Amino acid sequence: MEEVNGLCNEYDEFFEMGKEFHVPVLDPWLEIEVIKNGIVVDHYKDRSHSWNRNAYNWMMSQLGSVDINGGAVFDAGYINIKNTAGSVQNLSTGVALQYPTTDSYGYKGAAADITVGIVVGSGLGAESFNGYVLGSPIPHGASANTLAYNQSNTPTLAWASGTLTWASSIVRYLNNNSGGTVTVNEVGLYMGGGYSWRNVFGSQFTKYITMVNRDNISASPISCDDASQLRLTYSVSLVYPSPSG
Amino acid sequence: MDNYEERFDEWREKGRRLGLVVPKTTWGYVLQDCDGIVIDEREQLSRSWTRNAYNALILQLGGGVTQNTTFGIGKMSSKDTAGSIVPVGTNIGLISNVGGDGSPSYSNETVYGYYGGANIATYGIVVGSSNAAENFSDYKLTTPILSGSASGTLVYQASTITEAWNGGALEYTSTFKRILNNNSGYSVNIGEVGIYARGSYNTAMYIRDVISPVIEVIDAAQLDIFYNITLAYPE
Repeated sequence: MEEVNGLCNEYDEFFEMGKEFHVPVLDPWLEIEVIKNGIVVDHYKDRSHSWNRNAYNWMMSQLGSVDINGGAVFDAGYINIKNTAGSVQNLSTGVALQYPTTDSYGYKGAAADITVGIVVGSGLGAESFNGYVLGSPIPHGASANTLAYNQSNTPTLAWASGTLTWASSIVRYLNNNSGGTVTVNEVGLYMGGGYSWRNVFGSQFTKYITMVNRDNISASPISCDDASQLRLTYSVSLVYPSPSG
Repeated sequence: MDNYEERFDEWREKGRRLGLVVPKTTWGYVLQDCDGIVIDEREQLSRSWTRNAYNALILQLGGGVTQNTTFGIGKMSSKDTAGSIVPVGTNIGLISNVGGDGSPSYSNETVYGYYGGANIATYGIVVGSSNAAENFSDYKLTTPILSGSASGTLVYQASTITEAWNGGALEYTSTFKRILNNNSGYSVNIGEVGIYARGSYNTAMYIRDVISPVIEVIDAAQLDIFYNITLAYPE
């Protein structure tokens, strides 16, 4: 199975106009490779249309300089964050990704950690803009229906001078040591953010982990055979205006 | 609405159909004389997000850190309004990490972000007298106007923010406004306006708009200048 979005011309035209308007528009993609004995045996790549309310609120906070509001209401008209445990963060601060090169922050999951970074699941539920957690996360492990989560790579950035594009690649490897086939129907991106502050006891940090993207790929599920490996990549790119202006 | 704005709105609507997040930014002002009579006003699209803003956005949403000690095309860095570049490996964006002793001093609305305090011309909406052409790599206003009552200065009031949700259009808008009073005894011409965004690791200019024709703020007049930043949501 190989999927590549067929609307690239329309998107290319859109981003080209973005240069003229000087408006930053992010372009997220999801790519999954199934590797067995060092050979890619299956490949999925498609534009991700799955930024959710958490991600929009995060962008609004970053571009519009607004703080979290709305109390416990996580819905239209409010800027806040719902963490992967289902709690709404009620903080007098903006939304920010923190410490992106440190395990358990940013998109960087530690080995065996399925609470931060790219996480996969078997859930079949439709994507929801208000979604905040995968339907059925696949646990870390070596038993049936589990996958071994490697430490996330530190995201890398690459500049493409031809298209004037910066792209960040968020990569994680998962190994199937379960003895059987594991099917992936959903992929999520869990972000570790928060803010630090001080009190009489010294420096404190309030952390939240929130899902900012969930792709339901159950129309073309990924079957990962025993002893094979998944390489998952979220790339986020941004087209820059022309150098002259 | 001129042709440019029509094309922008069509493009933005297309972005919504394609499932892309497209911000809309406008800026404007209201100029009143000493009797409170409006003598000039304007609102228009801003097309002036700078390299600093682009870099901050891709690093925040892309989960990366700065990687260069120079600033320009193909470099991932952040240049502050004093001309310094943050060290390699810095996490940039509107990050407020230095609150203190229970006060909400980590707020993007009342201390950090686009907020500027009374008499402070180094954070928030800042104006200048130059109308030199915009450049994507601009990192500060060309000729900032200081806060004060002497010739060539304006008194900067503290920023205010209002937020609004438009349930029909599914749009969230933040509006930062700043009032500038001319107590200098002379007219002051404004040819540029920008947003100095304050984060924990630096203060970077995110937007610079050149004003043409310049705004003549006559003595004893008051200028209310603002930015609207709007994001369309899918639901």
